[in-house]
Amino acid sequence: MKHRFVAPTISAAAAALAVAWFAEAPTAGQAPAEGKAEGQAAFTAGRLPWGDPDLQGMWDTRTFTPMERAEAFGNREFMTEEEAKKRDELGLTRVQSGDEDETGDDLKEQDVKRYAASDRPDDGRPGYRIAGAEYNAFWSADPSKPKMSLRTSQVIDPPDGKVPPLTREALDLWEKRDKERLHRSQADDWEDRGLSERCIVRNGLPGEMRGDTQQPVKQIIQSPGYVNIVMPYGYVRMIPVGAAGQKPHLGKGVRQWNGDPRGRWEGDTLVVTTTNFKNTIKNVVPGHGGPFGGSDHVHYYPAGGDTLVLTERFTRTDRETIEYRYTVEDPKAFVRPWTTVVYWNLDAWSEQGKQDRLFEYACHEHNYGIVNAIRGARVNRAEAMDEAAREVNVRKRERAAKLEALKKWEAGGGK
Amino acid sequence: MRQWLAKSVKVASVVASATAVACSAGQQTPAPASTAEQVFKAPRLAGTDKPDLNGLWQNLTTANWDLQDHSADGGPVPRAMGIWGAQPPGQSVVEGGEIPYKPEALAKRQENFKRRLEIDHDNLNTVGDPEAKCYLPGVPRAAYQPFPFQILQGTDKIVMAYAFANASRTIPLDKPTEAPVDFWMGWSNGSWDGDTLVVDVKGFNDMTWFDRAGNYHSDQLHVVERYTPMTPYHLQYEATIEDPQVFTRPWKISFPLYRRMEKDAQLLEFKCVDLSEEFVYGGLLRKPTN
Repeated sequence: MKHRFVAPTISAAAAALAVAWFAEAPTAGQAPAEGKAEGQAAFTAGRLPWGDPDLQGMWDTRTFTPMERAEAFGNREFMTEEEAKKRDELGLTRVQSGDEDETGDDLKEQDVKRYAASDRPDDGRPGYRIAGAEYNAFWSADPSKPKMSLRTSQVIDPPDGKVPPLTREALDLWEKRDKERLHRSQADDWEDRGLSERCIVRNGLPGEMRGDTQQPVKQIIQSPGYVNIVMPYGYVRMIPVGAAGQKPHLGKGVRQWNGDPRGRWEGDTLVVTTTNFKNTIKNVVPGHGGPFGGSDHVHYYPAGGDTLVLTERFTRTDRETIEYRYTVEDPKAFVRPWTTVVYWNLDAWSEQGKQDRLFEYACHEHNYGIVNAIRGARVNRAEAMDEAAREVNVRKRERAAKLEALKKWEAGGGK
Repeated sequence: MRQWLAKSVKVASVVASATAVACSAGQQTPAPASTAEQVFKAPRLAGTDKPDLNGLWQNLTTANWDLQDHSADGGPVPRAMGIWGAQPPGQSVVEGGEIPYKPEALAKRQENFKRRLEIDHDNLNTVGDPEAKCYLPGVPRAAYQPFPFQILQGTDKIVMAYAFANASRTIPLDKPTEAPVDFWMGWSNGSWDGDTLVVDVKGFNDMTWFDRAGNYHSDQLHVVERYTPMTPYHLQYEATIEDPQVFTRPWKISFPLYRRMEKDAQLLEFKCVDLSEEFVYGGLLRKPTN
């Protein structure tokens, strides 16, 4: 791989800083995870009976580190503890995806406020009549922050902490797609809805490797020759390692929504290369879904999927933590490769023995959302047609009167 | 994997030659031909004393069309599909041949069959075969759909990953737990009976079917599956099905699951949601709005 990770080159000072994980005041009772910043090999993962490093567990994959770095941090990969505390007081650390509003309120807090205001007349906001505080809260995991990283952004390369620009080719494709959209309603048919709404993929890889409040946990269960990641979106990523991981990728003629992964161990680090992604463009509506977390970055994948190479690295840095990093290389989509780092933590609820597996993701099975969207669009259209007909009718009377006048004029010999 | 296959073959041939020796020694009861299978001892999961069921498996029955005896048939839409959509003939996988329906429940099965390809947009989950809509297939149907599935057996859990609809289920082997809610794929608890993997599945909803013939169950369904290694290349699958609301007594199905032997065979996605949308939602586009 041409592109190198930043990790080995970070200064000793930065590494020392990374060591100091930040545990915020409300959870100060918990011991902060002692620092296993990248590059450190202090911890040796346990071994499974067949010799593979042990990555098993229920992993909380949420992060409160923003995808891209705030300007104020410049090229600084880590903030100071003082800065972290200040950001936390401002509520900025709560902004983790497009699911939260700009004020830093998470869904639950937004909903509590809306509920508190619910004795007021309908404010016209979508969902007003069905959403009480309990509604959104029900779908969301506890938004508390068990652990905070001092990272200023998930993106660590390029060094400015920003996703690199899209290529001209990608932008042209984006424009073309948007133009096509102009001729369609919100739901002329199902393809006008987003992939997640249609229950096809949530955000696609690698975006959905990052947990959100609704689906924070992924479960790793290993078997000889495989590392299996049970995804909360109704599928299992079966990553072959060892001999099976050395096999060539599927032929170009087989493309899959979740690509075709091959894994290998580099020491205790699982390295996974995934290719053969399906072309997702024609199905994705701008503004809903997308491989990198939906609305906060790229609304839909701006290339064909065939040139995307995703490389992921999983390192268990201590019993409770996996350092997860991925590198995206796609010369058709981005001007250069880019890399992110987040940390996965063992899920506290599961650690207490309260849950031993993920629930199934039956989504398509109850998808009245699509039925209603199509029906709604058709009703809207029918109403618009009725209104147009009414207007024509009004003009018809006017036209008839004009015709009468003409006939009268003609009958009078054109005088 | 290749290693353990080689080892298993060796075990099988050792057993076979032992049988031959026994016969030539003039023992009174020569072992029947099937002895090699009966005494087959599955290889152990590396580093453990548990049998190793890992692999890509697939059935070769036509039970997905009908669990019971069925003749060849042109299928529901021969006009559009030629014989692509035809039903292959098959013998019943049900022990005793017939499913012991309660009389009133049998009528519902006929009704299911009649309306198997209907879509009711106000009752997506109650009319028509869920398979046609790419809904999660349920258990045991996932084991006999015409698709492979992979057993991913770890230390204390097994994941079964199915090609169809990318369905999966996690089966803990250590501590049985009660189903917290209902699921399409049920709530599985696993245990070992010798070399047989026993999976007890409850917590079903009433929305999956057993086959395209409309055989069905209620949310009282209880399935006990048994996966027994027979040779390095096949497992015997057995499921006992109990549902006091629909059937007069528990009944059993069984058939072999074969290991996929193709070089480089791997489980491919059959993520069928986007393939089903025209069928599931298309009717909405052709209906008048009022």
